Amino acid sequence: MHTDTEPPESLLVERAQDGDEHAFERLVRLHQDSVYRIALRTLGDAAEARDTAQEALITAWRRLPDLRDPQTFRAWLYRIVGRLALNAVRARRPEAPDAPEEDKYEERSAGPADRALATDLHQALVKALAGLPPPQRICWVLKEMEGLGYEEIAEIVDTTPTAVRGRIHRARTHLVEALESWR
Amino acid sequence: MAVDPSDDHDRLPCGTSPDALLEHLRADAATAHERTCPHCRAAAEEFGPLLAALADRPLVTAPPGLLDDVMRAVRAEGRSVGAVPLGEGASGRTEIRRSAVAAMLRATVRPAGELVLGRCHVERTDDGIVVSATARVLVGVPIPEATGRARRDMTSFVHERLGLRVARIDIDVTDVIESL
Repeated sequence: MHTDTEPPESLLVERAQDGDEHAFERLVRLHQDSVYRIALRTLGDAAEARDTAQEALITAWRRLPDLRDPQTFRAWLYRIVGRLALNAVRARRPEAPDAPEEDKYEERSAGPADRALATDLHQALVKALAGLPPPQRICWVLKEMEGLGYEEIAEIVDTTPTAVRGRIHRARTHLVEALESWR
Repeated sequence: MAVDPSDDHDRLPCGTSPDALLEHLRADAATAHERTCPHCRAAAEEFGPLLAALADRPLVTAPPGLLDDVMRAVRAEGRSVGAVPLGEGASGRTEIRRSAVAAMLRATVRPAGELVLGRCHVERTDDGIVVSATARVLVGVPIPEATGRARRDMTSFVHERLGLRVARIDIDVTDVIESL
């Protein structure tokens, strides 16, 4: 039984699937902040994040009739924005053909650039996040900044929960190292 | 949030999962072991800046205008869900979008305050209008009575407002909710 006092989100999803624009607008209001944050933390650029969030939400409207289980709307929407953001990152740099996803990005220790120049702790975190390979970054953002679980993140980034754990572990190691001087 | 104990990527020497430790520290709910174990305390000290950065991070919200831009595009595109023919005569043909019929049917059953429609597919057949809908029913409301009233309301609406007869109305009750 649904026990919240608000009408269930899946009801809005079903109505939006039928073409109800007002229902979709309510869904956008509910999720636009998270969608934008995921894009922003993955891309590190506000203008690109806005464009990606907008594209993700419009893509969701177009593909909504194909969503089988309205209960999975949130993960489904986050997957759309996550993939678009990762594609945008990938488009910025030449890709190593046939390399595993994470090997396409340079893996490195937190260097001086990650530690220096930040005027406050939050900025230091943002800079340190920018030093992560994007597949690690998006997993860490979804877990620690959006509060999602391993299974849901695995669905969103299209990998296994074990791989998600590994990425989050490596991301945390990097971030702890990058923020060492703030201890 | 529960942390899967099978996570063995980077156990501390005492066996504690750093993920679990980080989770407990964020919730200010460290266990007795985590508060006293030297390995856990050392890890907690390492996590300090990261925890502080997470706790102090500013609330980032969507930029102004994002919602409007998205909805402008959505309304411009609409969605082709087809139309229900109402009739054709010498003076022309009349049809109504399925989404409009669905919206009116939802509004028709809402005044009852005991059942709310989700998906609502409308099809015209040789025998009349066929409606397939999902519904949530208010807790404590007898479902056969609620769906019966909803059927009567929708049948009256289709007859009086669209000038058509109803062949069948299928209602799939998917949840029981506390408020509509």
